[in-house]
Amino acid sequence: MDRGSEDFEAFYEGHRDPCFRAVLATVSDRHLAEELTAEAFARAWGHWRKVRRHPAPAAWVVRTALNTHISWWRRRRREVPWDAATVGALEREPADDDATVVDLALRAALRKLPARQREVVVLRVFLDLDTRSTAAALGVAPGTVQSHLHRAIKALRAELEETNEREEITR
Amino acid sequence: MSTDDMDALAPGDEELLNGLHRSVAGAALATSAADVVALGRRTRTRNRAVAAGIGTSAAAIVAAIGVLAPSGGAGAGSGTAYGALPHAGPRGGALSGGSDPGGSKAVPPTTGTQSPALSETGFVLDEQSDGTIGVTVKTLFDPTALQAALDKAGVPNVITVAQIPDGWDMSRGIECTPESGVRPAGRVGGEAITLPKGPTHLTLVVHPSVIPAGDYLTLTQFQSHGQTKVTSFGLYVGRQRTCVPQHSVGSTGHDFG
Repeated sequence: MDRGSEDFEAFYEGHRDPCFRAVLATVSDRHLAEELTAEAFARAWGHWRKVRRHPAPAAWVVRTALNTHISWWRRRRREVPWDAATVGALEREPADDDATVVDLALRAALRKLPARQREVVVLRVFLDLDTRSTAAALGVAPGTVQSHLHRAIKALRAELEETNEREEITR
Repeated sequence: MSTDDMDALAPGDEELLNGLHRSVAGAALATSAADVVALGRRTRTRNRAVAAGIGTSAAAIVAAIGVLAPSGGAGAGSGTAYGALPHAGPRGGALSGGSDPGGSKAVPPTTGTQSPALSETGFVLDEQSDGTIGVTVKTLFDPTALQAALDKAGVPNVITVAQIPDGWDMSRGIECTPESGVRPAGRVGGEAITLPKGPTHLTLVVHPSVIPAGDYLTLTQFQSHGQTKVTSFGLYVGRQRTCVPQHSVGSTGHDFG
């Protein structure tokens, strides 16, 4: 095994789960998250000489996975309805049996964030990147990261409060 | 202000983010490093082949579409095809399996449970004790392998991999232009091919005993530069020989992503 492969495998073993959790929290479908994450790591392997020099290679993987998801969703949104009713529903339910109601509410709130805010939160929370590293990974100023993070937290909090209020009303 | 200062969050904010972290705590990616490397290696090989100009120009690729399918073409009539699933990524085959005609599981193996050897052909075929055939399709590398497996299982079929022409407007869909005498089988198609709830990848349950003589399970996978974009499938009367792409729906103004 060459040195590059050893490096990649060490990187993979060290970051596979945090990256997977970041993607899972965002897409909330375990099977899809697995596919997206594995796919992104495979791309990282293919471009390892470049990716290894990235300020935060794990962030590169997560962003690649989430960008792949966006492309997938855009295609799915416009193509799945193609006479799907003939053989039954093609839509799949999220496969995540372990999540609690609060977990799902948090993830739903995360998915509602604007893309850049969501990226900042994901890198900060799941990859444990600090402001400087997050900024380097996203190619923005540290102040911009901080601004996005605070807006994201505010939006998450508002979304959760709204969810709680809806639950109170339904009880 | 240093970035250390910027990292400081109010206690309540920190708690909120911790809650988000906890919401997926314990989730682990099962895919092995070997599988990821194998997937990356396959993809790189394909990309290099494409970059090297196999098929030469785009015009040559377009011209070749009609003869690309080793097993003949597939049809997916507009508004009458049974289904079409876009794929999650360029190499959805990452999690795909190979032919396993003797399998007995109703659900194909998931990520990380498959050996690298099962990742080569891009599908899993499981014969059930009730006579149904489970077919999970990812990126097909060799459509003749799936065709042969289905033949062996007694499912008349037409399996095709077709290349999407460069610049194709995917917002208007894509399908094979139906050939003379080839048409959707109608209601029986919904009985012969069902889609169980399950993972996001395409899994069909085929009921061979329901398929009338002269009908074919017709599955076409449309790929672009080694990436699977859409897989369409259905039960058709007649055998489609070639696949000449045509738009399946009216334009909605989106570009092919």
